[in-house]
Amino acid sequence: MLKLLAARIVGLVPLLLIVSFLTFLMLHLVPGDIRDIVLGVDATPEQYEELGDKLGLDDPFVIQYGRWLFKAVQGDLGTSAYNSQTVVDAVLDTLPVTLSLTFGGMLVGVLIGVPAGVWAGLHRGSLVDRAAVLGATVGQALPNFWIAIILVIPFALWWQLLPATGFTPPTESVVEWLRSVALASVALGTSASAALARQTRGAVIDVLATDYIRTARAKGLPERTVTFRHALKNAAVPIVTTIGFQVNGLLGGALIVEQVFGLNGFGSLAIEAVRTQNIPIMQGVVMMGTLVIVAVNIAVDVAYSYVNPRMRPA
Amino acid sequence: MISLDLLPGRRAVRTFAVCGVLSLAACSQRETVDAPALPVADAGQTVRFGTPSPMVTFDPHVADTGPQFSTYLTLVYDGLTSINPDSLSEALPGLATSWTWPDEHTIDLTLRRGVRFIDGERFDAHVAKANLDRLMELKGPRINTVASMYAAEVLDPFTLRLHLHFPDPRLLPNLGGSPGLMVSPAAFDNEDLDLNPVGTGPWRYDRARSVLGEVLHFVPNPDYFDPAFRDAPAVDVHELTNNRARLNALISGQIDIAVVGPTEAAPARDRGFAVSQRANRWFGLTILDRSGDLVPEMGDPRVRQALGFAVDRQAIADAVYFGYARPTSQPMRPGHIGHDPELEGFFSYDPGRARALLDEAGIDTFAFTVPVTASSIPQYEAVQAYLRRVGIDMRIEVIENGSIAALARSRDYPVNTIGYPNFDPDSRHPAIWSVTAGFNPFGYEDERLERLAAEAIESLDADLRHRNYREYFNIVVKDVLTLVYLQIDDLVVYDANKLTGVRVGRFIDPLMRDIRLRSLPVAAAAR
Repeated sequence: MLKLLAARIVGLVPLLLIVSFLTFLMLHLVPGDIRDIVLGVDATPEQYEELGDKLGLDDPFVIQYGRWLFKAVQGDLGTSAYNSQTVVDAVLDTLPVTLSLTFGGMLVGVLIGVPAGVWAGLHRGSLVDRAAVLGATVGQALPNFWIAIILVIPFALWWQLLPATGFTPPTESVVEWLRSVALASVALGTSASAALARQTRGAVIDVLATDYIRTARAKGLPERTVTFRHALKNAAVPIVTTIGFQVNGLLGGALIVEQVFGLNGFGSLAIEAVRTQNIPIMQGVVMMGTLVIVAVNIAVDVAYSYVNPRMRPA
Repeated sequence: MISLDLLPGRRAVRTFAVCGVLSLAACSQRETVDAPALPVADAGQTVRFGTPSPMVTFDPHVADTGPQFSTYLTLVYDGLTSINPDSLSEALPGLATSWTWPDEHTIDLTLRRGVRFIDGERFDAHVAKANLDRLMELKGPRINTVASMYAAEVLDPFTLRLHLHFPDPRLLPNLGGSPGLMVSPAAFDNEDLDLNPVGTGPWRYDRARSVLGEVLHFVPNPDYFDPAFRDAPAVDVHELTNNRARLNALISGQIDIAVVGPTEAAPARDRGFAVSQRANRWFGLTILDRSGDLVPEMGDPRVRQALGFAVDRQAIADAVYFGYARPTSQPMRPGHIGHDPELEGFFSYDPGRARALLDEAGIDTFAFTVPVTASSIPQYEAVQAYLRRVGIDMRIEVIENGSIAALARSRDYPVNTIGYPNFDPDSRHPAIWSVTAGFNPFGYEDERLERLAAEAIESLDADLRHRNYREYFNIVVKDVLTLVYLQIDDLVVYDANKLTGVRVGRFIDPLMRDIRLRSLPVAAAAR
């Protein structure tokens, strides 16, 4: 297991280098100029030139990237182009919001999707199965930002049970934290639960049709033991894989849902950075996003090898 | 060494769960700042304002004079002067209580006594001079608005003399923007001055409780010199970039007042919130190719006039801006220097006349392309439809946010759609209409404009300035160097049961200093 972790972490270095280079390149190809935003419409050509010199905008691309990389390897991702807020601080201020939504959405997805899928798989062809399949289709078809907009209306605006905007860190109040991410988590988790329900249903049906299940039943094992000890444990392999995919998808979905709930997460930080051509922040967002996704993938690999002993490294 | 595959199932699950919670909690440990604890007001005693404008910097000398200034900086800093938002050309007293012009190149400011910064430093003429010296050294984005000033001189501890290159009637009002805000000289070298303001203003920034990008807390400054602010409420500024999220926060009672767009103003009004509005900007087309270098048809003023007569301004005001806009033909609004009432209806909706002008110019049909940012597409699509009816094919090219100004400086498009706030013509002439203007990339020259502006910019005679700029805008409108369709409102909606004194300022946001709670005695707004 440690070998697996070590290999993944070593593989992270070239990945981050490639991602950082491509990101830097793409950010420089994006139309627009930070000087227009900083200086406004009345700027003189002299002001334009001076700011360019100050920010090093007129240096060759390779020099700019080299300067950024030199600092980055020392743990300094730079500061915002507009003030002295460090990129690391900006990212750490917003990361808990997005991670809360991502994990909240995943929790909703697992709590709804897995039981629904198991039930549907165990009762294939029943009314419950058909309802689960229909629900999963609808759940996957609805965009999460639309669900978010719809959820806000009754729960936040009519009944005012949950806040319409804002985030409370768990360190401040766990209850308020849960309340602040509840609606967004449900909005995000709906599509994840639909995907998980479909995948779980299929996995359970496949496992129930295998020889060893037939053998277990032939041996006279109780149906509960067959289901929980043999069927579900083996069906968990594709489910864990799906969870991994869903976490990455939820991370992306959170960026949009944050806007609906006015949450200061990764998405808001990224959008504002793009709007204001704040290249250091954009670069930091992409790097940190890459790290989070790689971390999730490693966690999935670890979980995968746990539920499937054949996947464990020798 | 722990190998997960050796762990029993429950332990593994528990370990995962604990690691997850710990990592989330660790991430939630937001930046803590060593700062004195400031009193915390409850929500009922706090003005909770929702704005789309993020806090960028608390260093006024490198800040822009926009919402950044009016939402954040005016809470914590005082300026040498302030600006009358109803006229824009009138300076009102600030830390300078009065001023005289010994000659056309000199202004003597009498400074307020008994003012202290929040770090205990005293304000006097030496401090004011140090601030202006720093401003000129740092050359921030608004330095061109005070470019006439080349030196400040201390005459006595409370009299400051400003030396000017040329007579500049705009200098005093411009010192009411971010360039004139006073910072404690002891904080000049603070590396975190941009995140930790040290001013004399009516509020103090509670950095320890604030999270950039989310909510910034301001508490009343108990030592503020003006007694009118003794009962000033605490202020929370919520950064909510999404219009709908701001409206939701208002309706659900999380905030009391919000900047909104026309789409959100109507539902807020229907739910009983009050609306404050001010026509702060105009919507139209900035003609760049005034000589017809890129699109020959654009060189003919009759064709440019056809662009004006072809469009039903009132219909766009009603349909796209929900009535929060008014048809006009000129850039300046009533009460502003250069506004001419007779120009107001110069362009009426008359497609027949537009067609006749095109026929007169010998043009059957022609096409041109305009760059438009995504947020402005509906209004320009409306214009496009009207122009098509008279044979003009205006093609819309959607561009990235933040690139519109660069395109206005380029020779890539004959027309630009950049929006301008209603600033004074002194700064608009060199930016848009002068032969050397950045937004005149084809170098179109009109000697009449250069003469009229040159006389007005350096004149202290208000009548002459108004007269010249009125003539100036008659040329701009009738020759269609810029085509103005609408004056559009900036909008603020608020809970009138809780707040009073709400007025939209000269940018998109309310005049924060004027707002008071109804539950407390209403203090007269100081400025």
